[in-house]
Amino acid sequence: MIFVFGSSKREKNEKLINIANKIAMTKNEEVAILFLDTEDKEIHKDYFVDKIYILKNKKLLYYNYDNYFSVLNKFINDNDFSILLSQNALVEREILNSIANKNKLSILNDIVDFKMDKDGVFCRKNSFRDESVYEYKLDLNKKNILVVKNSNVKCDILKEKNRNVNIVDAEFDNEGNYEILRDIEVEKKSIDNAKIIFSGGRGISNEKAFNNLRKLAQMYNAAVAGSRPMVELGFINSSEQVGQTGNIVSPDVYIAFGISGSIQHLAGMKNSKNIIAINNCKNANIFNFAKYGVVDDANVILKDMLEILNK
Amino acid sequence: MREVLIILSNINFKIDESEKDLIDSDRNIISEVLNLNNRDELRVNAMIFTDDLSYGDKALKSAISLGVDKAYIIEKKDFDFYNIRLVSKYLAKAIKENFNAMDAIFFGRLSYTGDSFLLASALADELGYNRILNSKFFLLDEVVKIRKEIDYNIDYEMKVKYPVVISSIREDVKRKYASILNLMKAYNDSKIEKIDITITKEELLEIFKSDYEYNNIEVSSEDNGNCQFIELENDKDVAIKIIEKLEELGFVVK
Repeated sequence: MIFVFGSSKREKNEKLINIANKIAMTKNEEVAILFLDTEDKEIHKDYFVDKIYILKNKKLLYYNYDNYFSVLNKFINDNDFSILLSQNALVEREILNSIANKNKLSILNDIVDFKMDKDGVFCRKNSFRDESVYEYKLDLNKKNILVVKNSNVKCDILKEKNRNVNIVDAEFDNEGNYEILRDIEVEKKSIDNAKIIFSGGRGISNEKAFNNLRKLAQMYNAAVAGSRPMVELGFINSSEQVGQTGNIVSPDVYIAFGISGSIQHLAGMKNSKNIIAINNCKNANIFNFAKYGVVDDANVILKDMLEILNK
Repeated sequence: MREVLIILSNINFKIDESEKDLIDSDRNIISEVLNLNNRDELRVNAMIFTDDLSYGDKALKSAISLGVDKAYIIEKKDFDFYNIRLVSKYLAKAIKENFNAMDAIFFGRLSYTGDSFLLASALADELGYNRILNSKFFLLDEVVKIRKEIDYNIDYEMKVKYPVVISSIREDVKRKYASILNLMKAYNDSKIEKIDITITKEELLEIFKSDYEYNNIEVSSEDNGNCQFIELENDKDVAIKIIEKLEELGFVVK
C-alpha cells in the first residue's frame, strides 16, 4: 500500500496522489489517502485512490502534537505500507519526522522531484547550498516516509474517483502536555500559489524600502517574499522566504528587487515563468535567469513605481 | 533556578560572508532568552557542536560576552553534520551526561543543516521532551507560554509543560550587546568546558540502518542567458517601463 497523508488543500492532495499512482504502477500496489479530522467532509472525497481513510476524533480539531502523534503513530504501526507521502507544511513535517525518529523509520524531507524507471524509484533533493542534486534510491521493501516540497510527476490514472470513506475511530489518552489557548489568524498572503510575487533582497535591506515593497505588492494584489538574510533582519517572516531553506515557488511573474541571485535563492524561484530583476550590479547572477533586467538601484525604482501608480 | 541551554549553530559552516563569530539567528535566540523578565531565575548555558575548535571557542566567548552564564563545546573532526539523527544523538548524550536536568533547550532559526526545525524535533524525540517548533514568542513561567506558527496564516497561543525543546523564528528581538563585565568574564575568567562524547558501534548502526543510499547527479544549468535589459536614461522611465511590462503580462494595479 502507498499512503498519501491528506491535508485540507485538494490541489496538494491531488499532486501527491499523482506521484503515488505513478509509483504504484511500477509495483502493482494500491493507493490510499489518509486524513485526520473531526468528521467526514467533502474534501476527503473524489480522489483517484483505491481507499480513503479518516482517523476521526473530536479532539483533532486543533493541531496538538501529542494527539496527532498518538493517532498517526498507531495507524502507521498497525498498517503495512511501502511509502507514506506528505506535503511539507509545518504540521506534517513536525509530526512525520517525529514518527520516523521514534520508530527508526527512513524519512526523506524536502524532495523536489521523482524518477521512476526499470532500476527503481528515486527521489531527488538539492544539497543544502544547492550546489548539487542528490538522487536517493528507495527500498520499497521497508516503510519510507517522503515529505515532498515540489514535484513535476504527471500520471495517466486509469482508476475511478473514489467517494467511499472508511472511518476509523481514533481513540487516545494523552497527559495534556500541550494546551491550546487560542488560534490567531495572521494577515498574510500565501506565496505558495501566488500568481505574482514581489521579492526583496540585500539591495533593499532597510525598513522603509521593504515597506514600499509591501505597499507596491498590495496594489498588485501580489505576495511578498524575500531571501534568507531578509528573514534574519526581520523584514519578512520565515514562511515568506524563498530559496533552498524556504519555499519553492513558480509564479507567472517574480520581481526581484535587490536580489543578487545566490544559488540558495535561485533554488526557490528559478522556475518562475517571468523573472524581472532589478539590481545595481550588471554581473549579478539573477540576470542569467531573468527575462527582463534593470541595472539600477532597486530602492529608487521601488519609490518611483509607487509614486507613478499613486498619481 | 531553571536550567536552560541554547544550542548554537556550527559557525564553521558559513552560509554567507556576513556570518562571522555568531550568526544572526544565534544572536537573536541568545537575546530572546537573556531578555526574559525572570532572567535572574535562569541559569543560561550555551553549547556548540563543531569540527573547528577555534570557531566554536570564538562563538561561545561571544555568547558569554552577551550574558550567557556557562559554555560547553563538543568537537568532532570530519563529522557528518547533515545527518540530523547523528547530530541529535550526540547532543542528547552530551545533555544527559553533563546536566542533571534541563528545563528548556533552545535553537535559533538556523542550525547545522540550515533550518533548525528538524534538528530540534529530533533532539526532542531523542530526549523525550515536549517540543515547540517555529516559536514566535515564549515566557518561561510555571509552564511555558508560547506563540507558535502553525501555518502561513495561523499562529497558536499555547501552554506547554517542561521539559521542552524550542526552536525560535522570532524576528523582532531587542538585541543584547556585550557589556564590559561580560567581556572580561568571556576573555579572562570563563572556562569553556570541553565535552567528550562516545557513540557506540551499535548506536551508529541503528542510525545508519534508516539512511538512504544516494548519488550526486549532474543537472544541466537552466539559465536562459538572454535577459532583455531595460536601459533608459531616467529612473522614472524605467519604473514606467516595468509597470508596462507587468501590464503586458496581465497584471495591473487593482
